[in-house]
Amino acid sequence: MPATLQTKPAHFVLERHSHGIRGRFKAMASPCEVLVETQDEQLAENVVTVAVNEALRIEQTFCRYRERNLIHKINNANGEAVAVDEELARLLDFVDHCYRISDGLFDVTAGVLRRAWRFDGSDRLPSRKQVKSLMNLVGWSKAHWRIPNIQLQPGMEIDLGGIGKEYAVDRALLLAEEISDTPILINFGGDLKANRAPTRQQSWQVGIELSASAKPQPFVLSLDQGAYTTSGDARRYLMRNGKRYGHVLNPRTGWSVSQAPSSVTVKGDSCTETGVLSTMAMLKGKEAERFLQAQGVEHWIQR
Amino acid sequence: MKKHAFIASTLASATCTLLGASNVLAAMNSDSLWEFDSAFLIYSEPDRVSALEPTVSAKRETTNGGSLFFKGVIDSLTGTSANGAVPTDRAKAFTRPSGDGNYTINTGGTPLDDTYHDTRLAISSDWETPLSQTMRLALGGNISNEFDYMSASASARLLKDFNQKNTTLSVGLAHAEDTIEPEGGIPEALGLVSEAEFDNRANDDDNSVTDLLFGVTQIIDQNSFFQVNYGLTDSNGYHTDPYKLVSLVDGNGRPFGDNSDIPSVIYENRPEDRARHSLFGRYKRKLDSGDMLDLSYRYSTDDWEIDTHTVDIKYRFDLTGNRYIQPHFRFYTQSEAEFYRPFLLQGEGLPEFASADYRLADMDTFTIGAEYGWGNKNNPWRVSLEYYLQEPTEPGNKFGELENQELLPSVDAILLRVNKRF
Repeated sequence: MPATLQTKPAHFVLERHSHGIRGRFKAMASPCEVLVETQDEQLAENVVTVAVNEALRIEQTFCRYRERNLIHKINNANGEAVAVDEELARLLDFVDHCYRISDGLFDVTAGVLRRAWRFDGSDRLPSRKQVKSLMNLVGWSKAHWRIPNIQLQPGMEIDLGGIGKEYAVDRALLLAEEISDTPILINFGGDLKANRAPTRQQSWQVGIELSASAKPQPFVLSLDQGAYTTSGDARRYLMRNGKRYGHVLNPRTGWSVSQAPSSVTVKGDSCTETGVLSTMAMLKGKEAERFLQAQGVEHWIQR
Repeated sequence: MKKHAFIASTLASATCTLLGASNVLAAMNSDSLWEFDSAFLIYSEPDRVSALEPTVSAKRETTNGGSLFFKGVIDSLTGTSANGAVPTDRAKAFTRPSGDGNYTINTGGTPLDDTYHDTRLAISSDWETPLSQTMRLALGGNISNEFDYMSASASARLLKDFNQKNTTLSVGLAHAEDTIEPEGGIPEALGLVSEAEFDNRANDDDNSVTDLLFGVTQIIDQNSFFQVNYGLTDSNGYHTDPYKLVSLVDGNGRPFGDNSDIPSVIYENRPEDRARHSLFGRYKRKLDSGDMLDLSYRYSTDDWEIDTHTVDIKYRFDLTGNRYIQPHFRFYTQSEAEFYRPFLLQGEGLPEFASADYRLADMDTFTIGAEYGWGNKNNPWRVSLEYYLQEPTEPGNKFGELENQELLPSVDAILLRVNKRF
């Protein structure tokens, strides 16, 4: 049982850990942790504080459920163009790029399909007609994006949830590295990145709860440096006539991807990058392995 | 079976654009435009000079990739300084530099002028701007003021990058105009120290200094670079220290006239021209362990026949948690000026130039100390403590009573410096 050093007003807990000092908090609907290889509480507190602040900032700025942010404004513009700030412009450029290189599989406008699909383990599939009418609102190519203006068709929505957490890990680590070059690992809900290998132990030991199997079990990941992201949530599905419909929806058809893996983990240089690859691998269904092999990245797939 | 397109590399470069740009963006939003640096130095020679020196500087990057820099220094000196006269076996009285009264030096003591006190205020600025992708221009200005000294200078430096910015050549020119207005006026060169002499003094004199500098900096690899500079300094004007004296000793090695306790001393005099060449080399390397080695050597020679060699070694041990400790060693040696005279003989003709200032004697100096730094990039602290020893070589031509005296005792000093950036 780690000794708790203190609970900070910024809503995180600092505690002693085998790697040094750990900060724990909740953000983006996930348990988050920051491991800092140091015995210096002040340093650890500074590092954890920037990570927490960055996670909360990204959550507030880009979460579509928050009102009064630009995403909310864009999604409720009713066909009007909305001018965005520089950071969101970079993100929209990035998702635009991902849409094009994935032939439309990576699409931030696919979120409206959730209005028809509720993965509650029941057999309530949406009707073909329902999905077809929603598909009028899906497709990044229907949006007009030209810096600095984004214009959606009325009723369309964008959702950066697919890369928000990964982007937050990369950003938080960048900011943390400005404070210290000590080994740091950032883990936001299973998307994690370490700036370098720890010096006191051979590798980072991180317990993550992979919700890949129907019965989640704690899983200890051992890594030195780099970024790891995992896509998949086997608990979210529908079952109809013995056929399983997983929660991964193909934005080109509006339907659940068949034979999607239960989880895909990808290793790379940044979470933003591996997050896109693991999401795309899920969307490739039975082709997931071959897709990741073609990318030449280290990966682990559970089916 | 489908063939999958290779998208990982284009995805990686898009991610770089996203994260790299947002990082710059965040830096622009969160950091203040000006970066301030403050330092406080305490210098103390036991029984002699002590100095307090606070420094504040401010730097900002300009939008075109250049920078602007300002610095202010206040120096406050108090204490005593060797006046150049020889010690002897009888107490003796010296006229104060102002001509206003005397101070007495006891038997065997190094004659120290007890009126040594000063406050200096210096302000400098530097502006650097890119002229093209590979060329930069830096312009600087400096004003320094003491109660008896005023200096104003301007400088220009042109830097040109070659070889994908791995090689930088620089050429610089600087010019300074100094005015000295000593307490009591400008004493008569080699004039006998007496109260009457004060009536014939000029108020002030001046000096101008021109520097020319050529430099090459070569980046060897990611972790090391080498730098070589050549400098030519030409100085013309009043170089004499108006507070320094030279003793006239008799055949017994004593600096007195007939049965008087007033020592027989004259004011020093130095040449009006001085040209110095200097060569400087530096090698700095970051080691795999994170430690840093910083080596430098300087050689200079001038037409006063002062040749100097300086070796400076710093080694920075990288400690965990953003801390470091950096031991420092410096060795300096110089040969004496051709007109250095620890004393002159009564009854012999005076040379054209003479100075007994120990700073112009054959001398070795040693600096040993360490700097400790902690805090992160945004909140760094540095503290350094150094011991500084000046060891002049005792003159070899002593005789009579002079043989019983130490003319050039060692001078040691402690330097404590605290530095904080914010």
